[in-house]
Order: sequence, then C-alpha cells, then structure tokens
Amino acid sequence: MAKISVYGYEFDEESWRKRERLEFATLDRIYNGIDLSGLKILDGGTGMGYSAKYLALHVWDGLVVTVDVDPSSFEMLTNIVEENVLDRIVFIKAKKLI
Amino acid sequence: MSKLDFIKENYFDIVNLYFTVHTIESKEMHRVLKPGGMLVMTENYPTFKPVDSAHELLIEFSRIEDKIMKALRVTARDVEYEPDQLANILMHAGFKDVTHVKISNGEIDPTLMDWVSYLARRAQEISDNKIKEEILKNIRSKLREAKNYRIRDNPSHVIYALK
Repeated sequence: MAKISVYGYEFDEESWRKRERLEFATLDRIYNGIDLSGLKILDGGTGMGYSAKYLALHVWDGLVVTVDVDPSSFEMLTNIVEENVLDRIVFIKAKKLI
Repeated sequence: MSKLDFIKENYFDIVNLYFTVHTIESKEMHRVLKPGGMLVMTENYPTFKPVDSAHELLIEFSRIEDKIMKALRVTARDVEYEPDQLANILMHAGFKDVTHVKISNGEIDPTLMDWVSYLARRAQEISDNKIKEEILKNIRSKLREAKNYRIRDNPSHVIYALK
C-alpha cells in the first residue's frame, strides 16, 4: 500500500486521500458563493497544505501565499499538489510563532 | 505566524485561516488585506459535550495527548475560543461585518486513527516508565472500547470579517 509522510511519520496514503475529500467538502461550504478566480490570497498556517491546495485550484491566474513556521509543511504541500497547480502557490517559512 | 512586514499593506483579497487559530495576528491580517477584503477563519468549537461516542473518543484521546505532551515537556494544545470571543478580537483589530456560521458537525475522519498511532509512538519517548506504561495502557483500553475505531472530529464554524 502506498505511504504518505505526515510530519515525518509514515502512514497509509488511502485514509489521507479520504481526509482530503472531507477537507475539500468543508472548504466548498466555506467558499460557497465566493468567486475566487484571479484573487490574491494569504493562507495563514499551511499545516498539511489542504487549504492552500484547494485555494490554488480555484484562483486560476490568481496567487496563493501560504505561510508556516514548520518547513515540513512545504514538503507535504509538494507531495499533495500537482505541479501545474503548484505554480500558483508561494510558500513562506515564517520565523516564529507569536 | 511571524510579522508579515515583508508584505505591503492592502495587498490580499482574502486571508484564509483554516484551523490555525494559534497563528492569529489579527492586526497584521487587517493590514495586509485590501479595503473590502475578507478574512475567512475556520475553527473548531471548544470541546465541551461529546456529540456521540465517536466524538467522545476524540475528546478522550485529546486528554491523553495533553498528558503525553506534558510528560515530554512539549508545548500544550492551543487555546480554544468561542466564536463570539474570536469575533470580538477581530472587531478590536478593525474588522467590520463580522459573522459566523456552523460549517460542520465534525467528520468521521479515518486519519484520526493515524493520530492515535502517532500518540502511541510519542508515548514511547516518555522517560518515566510508570507514566509511560499508564498512558500506553490507557490508549489500549480506549482502543478496545472504540467501535470499529471510528473517531469523529470536533464540530467547527467559520467566521467572515471584512476590512
């Protein structure tokens, strides 16, 4: 079974694919009726990268800037986001938590 | 999140904070948003009463997580806020038209079992053997109680606020 690395721990990929579908369904409700195309969006706290991925899929020629203190967020993001969509995302590693 | 002083003011159309309330820097979020721009903040409700047995399991494992992190001297869990408290923080930062709606009853999330196995691994790192064994025993007994190992996430809400 395919594995996925989450904060340095290996897990089966399948349940994380299901999780992504749940996250996207929630994000669909959150952004219901809001046209995201062409917008510049700041995503505060990348985490697993689900919201950055969702937003990047909807901004088209817009931009998503996603920020996290943990550099492993960048690795997880590149694992879950397709390359052509990744072009719309800028990752910034923040210096510290406030 | 650190200061966003490398980003000029009035730049973003939307600031999205998705289950990251510990990063809240509401004045900075306000500064980098364009006038008329929107903050979209999604958060769990504070956990009080369990919704069902699957949610009860999440609350039990959250307590176990607190014990493990305390034993390992790792930063405690984030502060939990009521939607009204978050709305007040945002209004103080200059946001207007602040509204909040329930967005989810909490999903049965298959990756929460991975979180439990992560907790068991972290518990192995505890140097005090008595505490370690007690926590591992607790994890095993909770897992035996769990019907089909289904765990429900916390109910959540979203706050929309305009600059």
